[in-house]
Amino acid sequence: MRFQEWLQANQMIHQDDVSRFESEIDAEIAEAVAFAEAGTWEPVEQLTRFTYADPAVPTGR
Amino acid sequence: MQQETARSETTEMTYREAVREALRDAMKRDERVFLMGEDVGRYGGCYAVSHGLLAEFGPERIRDTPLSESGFTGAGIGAAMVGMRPIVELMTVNFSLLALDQILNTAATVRHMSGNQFGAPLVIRMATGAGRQLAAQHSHSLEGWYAHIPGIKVLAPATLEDARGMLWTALQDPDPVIIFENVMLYNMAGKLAANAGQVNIDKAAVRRCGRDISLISYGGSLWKTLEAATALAAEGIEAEVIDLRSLRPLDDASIMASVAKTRRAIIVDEGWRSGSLAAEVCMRIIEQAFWFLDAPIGRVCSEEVPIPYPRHLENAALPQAPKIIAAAKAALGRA
Repeated sequence: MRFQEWLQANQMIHQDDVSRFESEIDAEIAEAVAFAEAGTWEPVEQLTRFTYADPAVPTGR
Repeated sequence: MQQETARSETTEMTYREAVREALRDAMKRDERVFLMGEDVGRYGGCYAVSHGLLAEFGPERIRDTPLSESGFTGAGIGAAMVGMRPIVELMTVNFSLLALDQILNTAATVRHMSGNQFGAPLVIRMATGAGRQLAAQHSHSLEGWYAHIPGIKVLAPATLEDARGMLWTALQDPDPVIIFENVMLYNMAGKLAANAGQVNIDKAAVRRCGRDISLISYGGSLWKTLEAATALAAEGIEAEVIDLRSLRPLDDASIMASVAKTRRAIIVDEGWRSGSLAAEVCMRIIEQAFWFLDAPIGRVCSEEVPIPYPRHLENAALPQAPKIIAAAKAALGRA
């Protein structure tokens, strides 16, 4: 907040910019939370999967 | 016939030279491979393993690093994650503890934590073991600690063939592989097939067949174990000697096949006894082959002291053939 106030006081950022950033960030967080809450839990059977590479699953690296 | 002739051609070389040949071969075969570590370039490696490689491959691929194990091991892990195939050399396992954060918290975990989006296919080589009077900060055998960690593979080449052949196989692995080279093996000389190359890195090997007792070992202790087996044979005891080769994963099937045959087992491990790799092997035998056993399983490990500097104390701290012979005889009721 102090940094934001300093930027605004020095005319380096405007309130419109701050409002736009905040609404974009809020939307992104809401989307991520909705995605996570709509998901399913990882099956316990896959507990140890990807401790090592799985030959059956391609891995780029 | 020509192939048979080629196969029988051998070259006399040391273990050190076999590792160097493996490095040279890997550098030639894959341009993504590079070596980095303390003194690997100008100095030629603290154990002279990389001697001459700087002149051959240049400073871009044979990279001297600052004395910062965590820094350059982390750089190696990062390079591996974005497509390179680094070989990181750590001078000794004692010094590797400075890089343990990178190895355990990043290299070993990144695939699982990222849901397979990232992997760290690098090879970390280091010296381990005692016997050169380098005292307690350069002589320990901590490979058993590394074998505790899911997400990495741990190798202990004991022969020229494995010193020459394990590196390339390890570099093909999509996950991090640590190779432990016992310091007492670097000067070991022998004959290596001229066409020696890639070997498997997931199977134990029977280095001597026997029917009376299984002596299970790896790395520098393998040769002491074979020496003990020879002495036991002179007294009519035929010991089977198993070289674990891979400490993680352990080749349970080979261990159990041997123990089911001999019904007795001694594990020889240069690590300290408490919480040792030997304890892990012992417990797996109990879990999987208990009903085959005719005698309690024995262990020959290092004494529980920081490895001392004076030669007579250093020798007394380590597994030695007479201790292995005594343990084998005790298991056979011949003490």
